[in-house]
Formats: sequence, C-alpha cells, structure tokens
Amino acid sequence: MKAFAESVKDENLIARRRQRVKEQISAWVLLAPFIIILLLFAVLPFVMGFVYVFLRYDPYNVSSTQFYGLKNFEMLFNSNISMSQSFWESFGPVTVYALCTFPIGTIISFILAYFINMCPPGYKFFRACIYLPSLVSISIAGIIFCNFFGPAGSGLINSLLGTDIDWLGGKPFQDDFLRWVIILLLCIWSGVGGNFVIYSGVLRDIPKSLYEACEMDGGGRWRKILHVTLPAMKSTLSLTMFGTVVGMLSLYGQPYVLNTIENQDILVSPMMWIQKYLMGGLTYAKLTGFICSAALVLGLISAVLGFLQRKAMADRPRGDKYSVAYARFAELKAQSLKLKEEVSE
Amino acid sequence: MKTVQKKRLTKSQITARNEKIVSFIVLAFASLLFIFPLIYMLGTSFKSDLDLQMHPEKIFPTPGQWTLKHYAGFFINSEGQLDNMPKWMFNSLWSTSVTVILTVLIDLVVAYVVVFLRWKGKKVFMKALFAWMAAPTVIATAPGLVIFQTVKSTLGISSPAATYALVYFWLTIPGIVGVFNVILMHNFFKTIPVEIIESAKSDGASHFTIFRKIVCPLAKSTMLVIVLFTFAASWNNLQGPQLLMAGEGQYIQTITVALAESYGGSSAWGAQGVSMATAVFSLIPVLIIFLFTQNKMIEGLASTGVKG
Amino acid sequence: METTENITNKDSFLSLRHLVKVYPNGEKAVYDFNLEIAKNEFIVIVGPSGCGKSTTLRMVAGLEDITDGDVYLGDELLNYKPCKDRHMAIVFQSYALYPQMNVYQNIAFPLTINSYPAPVVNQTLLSCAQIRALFEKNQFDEIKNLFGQHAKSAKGGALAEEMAVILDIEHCSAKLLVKLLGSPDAGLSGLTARLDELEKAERAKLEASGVKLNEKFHVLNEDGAEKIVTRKLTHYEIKTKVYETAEKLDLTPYLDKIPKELSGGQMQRVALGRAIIKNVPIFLMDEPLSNLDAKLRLTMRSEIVKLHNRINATTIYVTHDQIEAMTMATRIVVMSRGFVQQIGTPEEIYNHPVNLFVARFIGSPSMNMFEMEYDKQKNAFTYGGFNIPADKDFKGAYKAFYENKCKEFEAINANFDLSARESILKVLSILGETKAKTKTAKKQNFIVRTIEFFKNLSKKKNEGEEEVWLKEKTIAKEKLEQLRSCVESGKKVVIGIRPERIEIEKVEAGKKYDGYYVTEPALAELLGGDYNVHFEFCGTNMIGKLDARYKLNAGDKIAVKFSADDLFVFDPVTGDVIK
Repeated sequence: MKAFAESVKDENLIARRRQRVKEQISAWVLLAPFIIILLLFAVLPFVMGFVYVFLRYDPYNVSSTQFYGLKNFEMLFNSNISMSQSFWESFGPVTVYALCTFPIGTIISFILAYFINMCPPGYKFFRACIYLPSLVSISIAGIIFCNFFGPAGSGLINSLLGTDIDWLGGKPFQDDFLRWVIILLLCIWSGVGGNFVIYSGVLRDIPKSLYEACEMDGGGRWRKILHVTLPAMKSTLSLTMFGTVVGMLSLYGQPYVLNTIENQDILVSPMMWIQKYLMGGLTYAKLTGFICSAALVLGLISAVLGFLQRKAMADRPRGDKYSVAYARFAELKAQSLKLKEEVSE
Repeated sequence: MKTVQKKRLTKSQITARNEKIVSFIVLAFASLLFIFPLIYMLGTSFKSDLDLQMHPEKIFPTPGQWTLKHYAGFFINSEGQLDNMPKWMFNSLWSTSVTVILTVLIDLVVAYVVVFLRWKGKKVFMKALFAWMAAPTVIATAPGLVIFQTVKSTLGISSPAATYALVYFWLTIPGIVGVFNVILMHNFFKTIPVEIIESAKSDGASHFTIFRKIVCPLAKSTMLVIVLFTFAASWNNLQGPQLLMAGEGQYIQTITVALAESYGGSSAWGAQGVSMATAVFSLIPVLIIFLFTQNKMIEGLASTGVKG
Repeated sequence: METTENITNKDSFLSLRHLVKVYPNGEKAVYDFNLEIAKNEFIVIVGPSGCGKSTTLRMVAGLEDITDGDVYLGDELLNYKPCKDRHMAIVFQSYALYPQMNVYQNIAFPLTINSYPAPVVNQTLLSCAQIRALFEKNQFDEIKNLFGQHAKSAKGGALAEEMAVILDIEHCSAKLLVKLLGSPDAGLSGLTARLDELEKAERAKLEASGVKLNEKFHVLNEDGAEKIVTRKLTHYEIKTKVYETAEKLDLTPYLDKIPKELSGGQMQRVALGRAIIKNVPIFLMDEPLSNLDAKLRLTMRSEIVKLHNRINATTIYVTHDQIEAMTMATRIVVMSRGFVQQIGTPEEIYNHPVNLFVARFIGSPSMNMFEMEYDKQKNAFTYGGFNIPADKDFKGAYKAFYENKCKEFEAINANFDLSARESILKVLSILGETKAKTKTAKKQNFIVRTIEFFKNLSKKKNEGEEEVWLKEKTIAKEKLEQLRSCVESGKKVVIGIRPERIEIEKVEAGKKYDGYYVTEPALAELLGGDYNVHFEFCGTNMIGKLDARYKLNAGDKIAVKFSADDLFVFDPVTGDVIK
C-alpha cells in the first residue's frame, strides 16, 4: 500500500517536472519570433553601428572592406572637410531651435491640459481637436503649411495680409528667421497634442484631497499649481522635455517638407544630414563608415542627454538637517530649563 | 436680509463658474487654431481651379463652384490610365495593416509568456527589454540601411517585383517588435489578478484557452491603444520608407513618402488642389481609426505617460 | 505663540442651521441638518456609507457649496467665506500630505503661505540682544568654529539660514551675526563694541521717532498694548511651532522623511500636525482612521481623544464605525440617507434610541428585533403562547403615540408638498426600505444621449419626478391606513432588546422556569469572557450574552427572560419608538 502511494507520488513528481520543462520550452518557442526579429532587425544594426565606424565599407562592394581604425572619426572631427563641417554646423540651428520649441511647446501643452482638466462643456471634443494634428502625417502637414505660407498668389497668409513675404526662403542664420518661425509653428501644431494628452492624464490622477488640503491651508490658485500640480507632474514633465529635446536632435520631417527650391540643400539638423547622405545611394556608398560614425556621435549625444535627465530626476539623498536642528533645539531648551531651575533654587 | 444672502453665490461657486467659462473660451479658441489647417485643407480640396488662383484666402470654395475634380484626378490621370495614387494607397494600406496585426499578435503573446508562464530567464529578459528602451536607436539608422543595401546587393536583387518584396519585408517586419508596446501590454497584464488565471487553470483550462478566452478579451482596450499607435506610426512613417525607397520608382512608394516627395514644397503649386485632395484622402484611414476609438486612445496615451 | 490666540479665545460656538445639500445632478445628499455645537465638544457624525455625513462635514469646511441653510461661527456667517478664513482645519481619510515635502515642510506649510496677526518686532535690537546672549554664554569660540565650517559650503542667505537653525536664533539675528563674523575685526571685544554701536544708533532713532518698545522688543501702540499686524511669520517662529507640534505627536525623529517613507500611522500624525499647527478652534476629521489597520486604529483613537482634550479644540469627526462614535464622542449625530436620525450623548443614543435605525446601528452585537402582538386588554406582548407583560403606563403611551402619528400622516396626506414628501422619505430611511429612484442616469453613448436630450425637450419637464411623487404619495396613504388600524385595535409592534440585557440562564435539571422562555441555543460563540448565544425566538435569530463561567455544551438548554424595563417598543409602520 505504502509502496503504491509512493509510486503515485513519484509519478506525480515526474509529471510535474515534465510540465515544468514543457512550459519552459513553450515559453522560448513562443518568444522566438519576437527575439529573432528584434535581434536581427534592431539589435544587429545597433551593434553594427559600432563596427562600421572602424571600417571602410561599401555595401555594393562588400569585398572591398578595409579596416580603417579611427580614420572615420578623424574625418568627422576634421573641420576642413566640408561634409564634416556641415555636420557640425547642423547642430547649431537645432540647438537654438530646441531651446525655443521645448519651453513653448511644454507651456502650451501644460496650459491646455490644465484647462481641459476643468472639464468645461464639450471638453472631449476639444481634446480630440487638439490631439488630432499629432496624428496627421508630416507630409500632409507640409502640404498644408506650404499652402499657408506660399507666395502671394497662392498662400493663404500672404493673400489675407495682402503682402508678398517669402516665408519659406532663406538660409540658416542669415535671413531665414521666418522659416524658423514656421518650422516652429509646425512643430508645435503637430507636437503639442501628445504631450497635452499625457499631461491631462497626469493632472486627472492627482488626488483631489491634495487640492482641498491646500485650499484649507490657505493656498490660492497659484499655490495649488506650485505646491500640488507641478510637483506631481515633475517626473512626467522632465520625461517629455527629454523626449522633445531628443526629438529635436533627430528633427527631420518638418524641415524636409518645408523645403522650397531655393533652399533645397539647406541642412538644419544632424538627422537631415545623415538622411541626405544615406539616400545618396551609390555616390556616398563608400562613405558608409563615415556616416555611421556621425550617427554614432548623434546617438551618444542623446544618450548623454538621457543620462543627465535620469540623473536630475533621481531621488537625491535627503539630509537630516531638520532632525539635527531639532536635536540642537531640544538640547538648548533643556539647558535653559535647567538654568531656570537652578536660578529658582 | 436673509433672502438676499441666499441669492448670492459662494466664492467657490463663482470660481467654478468662471473656471468653466474661461476654460471653455480658451479651449474653443485653441481647438479652432489646431483644427483650422485641416479644415482649410478640406475646403481647398473642393476648390475649382479659378478659386485656387483667385481666392486662396477663402476657406471654402465659392458657393456653386464646388468640384470633385481633384479627387477624380488622382484616380485616373490625364492619359486615361490608373494613376499612381491608388497604388500608393494600396501600398500603405496593406503594409500598415500587416504591421498592426503582427504587432498586436506578437505583443499579446510575448506579454502573456512573460507574465503568466513560468520559465527561467524571465527577469533577465525583462531587464534587457527595459535596457533596450533606453538605448539611443539613432545609432542603428545608418547601419540598418547599410545592412539592407548589403543584403540587396549580395542577393543581386534588381527587378521591380523583387525589390518591392524586399523593401516591404524590411518595412513591415522590423516594425512589429516595438519594445514600448510590449512593455505597455506587459504592464496591463500585470494588473490582471493572478487568481483569475489560477482558477481557470484549476478548472482544467490550457494556456491557449486562457489566452484566448480570458486574457485577450480583458486586454481589448490596451490592444486598441496599440493598434492606434502602431497604425498612426506606420502610416505616417516618412524617414524609414524614404531611406529604403531611395532611388526606386514611384510605384514602390507609400502614400506618406509620395506626398512628401511629389507634392511637398513650392514645386507643387500647380497641383495645389490635387495635393490637398490627396492629403485629405490619405488622412481618412487614420481619421477613421481615431474617431472609432479616440477616447480609449487618449486614456491609453495618458496612462502610458503616467508610467513613464 | 501668541499669534492666533485671539481667535481661540473668542467664543467659537459653531451652529449648523437647516443645512441642505443638493448635488448638481439633482441628488439630495443632506436634508435639513441642524446642530448647535458648544465649545470643546467632540461631535461624531456616524452613519452607513453614502448617508451624507462627509458631505455635511465638507459643507462646514467650505469644500462643498451649501445649497441651503447657514453655518455660523459665533455670530459670523461662514457660508460665503473661503475655507481658509473659516478658522478650521481638516484631516482627510487619505491624509493628503504633499508628497514632495518632508515632514517638517508638510507641517510648516500652512504657516509658510499665510499671513497671521503677529506683533511688530524691532529686528535690530532683537538681533543685537540675541547675539549678545550667545556671546555671554561663552559660546564665542564654538560659534566661530561653526561659522568657519558652514561658511565653506554656504554663502549669504543660505549661510544665515543655516546659522539660524543651528544656533536657534532669529533669521535677522543670524544675518547680523554672519555680517559681524565675516568682518575682519572678528574678535569678541570688537564685535561687542560693534553691537553696542548698533544698539545705540537704533535706540537714538527710536527716541527721535517716539516709538516705544517692551522688553521683548515688540513695538507698542500709544495705549501701551503690543502693535499687531498681519504678516508672514519668520522662520524662527515657524520653526518653534513646528518643533512644538512634532513633539506633541512624537514626530521629531521623522522630520526629514517624506510621506512615501512613513507608515500609515505616522502619515496620519503628520496630517494631524498640519491641522493643529494652524491653532484653529475647530477640527474637522473625515474618517481619519479608516485607512489604518485594526490595531493602529485603536491606539490612534485614544491619541486623537487625548489630543482633543489637550488642545481644547472643538472637533467634528465623521466615521462609519459606531464603536469609534461611542468611544470618542461627547455627542453623536446618527445619520441615514441624508437625514439626521438622532443627536445625543453616547448614553442617550445607546439607552434611548428614537427609532429603529438608530437602535439597529448603534451597539455591537446589534440590538435584537422581533415582532410581537400587542394585546390591549392584557397590556402585554404576545407571540404564540409566550407573553411579556408591558408597563402599566404603556397603554396610554401607545394610544397617544398612534393618535399623534395619525394626525401627522393625515396632515401629510392632506397636503402632499415638498416637506411632506421629505417626511415620507425620512420614514423610509428609518425603515431601510428602498426609496423610489429618481431617474437613473445610465451611461450611454453620445448619439443616444443627444436623441434623449431632444426627446426630453419636447416632453414635459418633471414628468419623471411626478411619477416618483406618486409612488411616495401611495406610500403615505398606505401608512395612514395602517396607523389608523393600529389605533382601533392592538397590532403588531417591533420589540427591541440589547443582547447584553437579555437575562439568560443555563437550564438546570429540577428547577422551574416560570416566565422564562426555554430553548436550545443554535450556536454559542465563546469570546473569552462570555458567550454570544444565538437562539431562535419569535421566528427570528436572537443573540444574547452569557457569562463564560457557565459552560455551555451541546444539548444544553437555556432559559431566557426579558424584563419589561429593558424592552424598546417600536412602531413597525413608521419605525419610531413608542416607549
């Protein structure tokens, strides 16, 4: 009888173990497509990005591959080469641009989210309207904005104002102020929606009792924003700000679609630079390693930015300032009590 | 005296009322600004040639001069043949649909395996995913294309059909493994109480049954969010397809690429009406998806932001 | 500190008169709430969830608008005042601590953002005196050391702030000290000379302008009293207050922690601290203990009562837990479905519940209720063969009660207006019967809602409402019929008796039990000291208490006796107590 019981137990154990193994295997089988595709199409290029930079590589003539050492980087940091020079120059406008867009964009999204959270009649409709432009592809946006800011005969703004302003002409840092403003407008138009919706979600989740507590403590609207709303949004704000800045570095679509014939070749962002030479086909095929090194530099810069952002948001160790001060306070109080007692005695 | 006081509003009532009024005005104005370009686009697409030339300042065509000419124009070109427009739409539609369907499927399966199956290496896998999320993927853009070109030249692909197949393979397949979506789904699955799964298991349900009958129906809203994100991202993707399609014919382009290249810039002034009509047309699929599930999408987008 | 004492000393007789709350969606949450609160009272509003108790509290606090009625503090009408000017502090169920601030900042927050009436201080003289006191305590070298250490890491204002905290002096004194120590001739004698100089100059200036000071350097008015202005408190004043509060609540070791790092009890104490630091005469607490675990709840309960006694504030406390209400309150307000059922001291509420709802809600285990027939001739309650004799004067009380009730309901039926409808609703709230629902707003999609909206436009507006009224009207009629029949002949009554008042004896063989009801217990739960004995009586399950010294075994019988003094008799039609 006992033996039988044990054999059943053993059988159970074996069945269980078999079940485990089966689960293990099926897990990996099910994950396999995901992992393989991820490795092949995402991780591999990423890793190759670190390999190509040391090579002279031509995808149309693989056999001609040479080890180049750090030559690609030497080229990139050599400002006498016009290609590298234009790469570094493209950081200029983008930086200025990021510094303009992200405060404006953030503030607009925040204000709109703040108002949406008051739930006026029809707020769902408004929310949809504000979010919709971020779903519109950049090509469509480009067509519309080109029509808005076209020359006098066809542009909406020019014909409304009765002027003939060349909104989209001009070269960077020379006479292209207007074009920058329009790219900025386009970025805000299509970029505000996403952040706006995220902010409104965060705002909605702030506990009401915190606002009520602040009100009871005597805080008005600004106090509530300062002490309740903004602290609650801190991490989200920083995340979206980081997203905006990195997005600016890889700014591509907006300036691309707002190009006109006169300024076709103007580069305004590092991403445009990379894209331009990558699309050059056979002409620039021999420079693959060089282009990859530029992409690597760009990636590293955004990685550094991300690192800084995380560093800034990390919980800083809080001191024990107040406890120490209290200890001192209590000590002094005890001393003065003692003194008083002595005096009274 | 007392009755007079009763009629007065308390301060918070006044603030609440003012808040509603101010926010309504601000939001109505903002919505108008945000939606105006799209309305202008719609209006212009119906304008006659005369209106286009004479009245760019009008939002809608002059009454009686509405025309569907521009819409007809891109179906059949002037030589009476099928124009490129339907081809582009078709390219975009099928590739986007495939991407969306595969993405949702893969996300569901991966999230299920990670959350509800017991296997070794789960923690490492999730850590790797999170690490990959933080990686600067810009680095991979150039090498990705290089690998594509290498493959293309090594295989000796040059015929239009083969190029088409390769380009679209390269366009759809890498798009389905977005780590962000997997993590989104994973986070949702984590909120399903394990007891539900366990009680189903004790009732003798297999993993496939649990997946199909319990988990998938629960994940509907997250699925919708992913569908919409993926659809919009894939449909609107300009940079990736542009790289892959560089130097190829127009037949291969997606609608977004085609719009940017054929109608973008001032080079297209002559085709203003057609460009607007094409834009309207290409916006329709995204718009449909958005209208159907906009509330879910907005909630979903909002909640992803909270999690960071 | 003396800053807000003038408020505390004022008579803070809080009175809530005819408070009514109707939410924007038309739901009436509170009906005619009346309460006069004396100073230092601990009022507990208790009732099941959704009975309008929190709404009442929030109306008092000013977080919710008052639809009708008045709140007075002394002679002051509070209705239109913003909540910060109501001299109240509230503690929320969710604590509502600012997550980004540490405990010190959380407690100090109300003080840092508001201005308070405070005396005007001559800062120059005060700082001179404080620095002199420091020097006299022979701490000069120590101070110099500290200054040297901290001057490395901080500069200017931050340095002064640090010195102020460390040396326990006013911010202005610290500023002066930093200035003095930073100067080149930083010897003790040199600095004292500088202080003398400063003091002399300031005194001369005051003399010239004719301003007088008292010994604390507070500026005096012409009549010799301290001049009071409304101003921001200084860091030093805030600091002292926060430390005092933290000491009261045993929070001093946690001053640097943020809410995330605290336990529930600690967070609750911080929330209390934030309330008491405002030094207001009225405390409002909205279920402050319901997020804590059972054990902590017990200790915090006594803590809160102790705190209440120590700081002499008037407290309104909202809870759903009747034990909290019984143990903490000086007076209890029992609410149900927006109606006040009874207001009274815990003893009153326990010993003289006015209606079925209160009797059921207060007490644990709750009161036993059973229906019996009232026999007018015998003046006794009967059920089957068993009867309980009633008091002699019960007959009269019974008659008077039903005659009054009949008149009341006749009046209601004669003129079925809003107030009549509300009295019917109140009767329903006592009996716990479902009230006719005002149209439920189902969640529908946009299109359906729009269609409904246009449909409703063409319809008469209060059609749905009238339907509800009709229902209540019929209820009123039915009730009147039932009441009338009661007057004519004895009818059923509901008898209530507290479990602890039921006399239970274990049946012993050979003993006679006259006037007892002998039965076998269905279940006996041992609680340690005594049993909760469940048994069947009059078709209902009853609970009684039996001392655990009598061991109950399976098959044992018990004899039950009800003494007429301990019985509560309720009218089943309206739920009110007859005796």
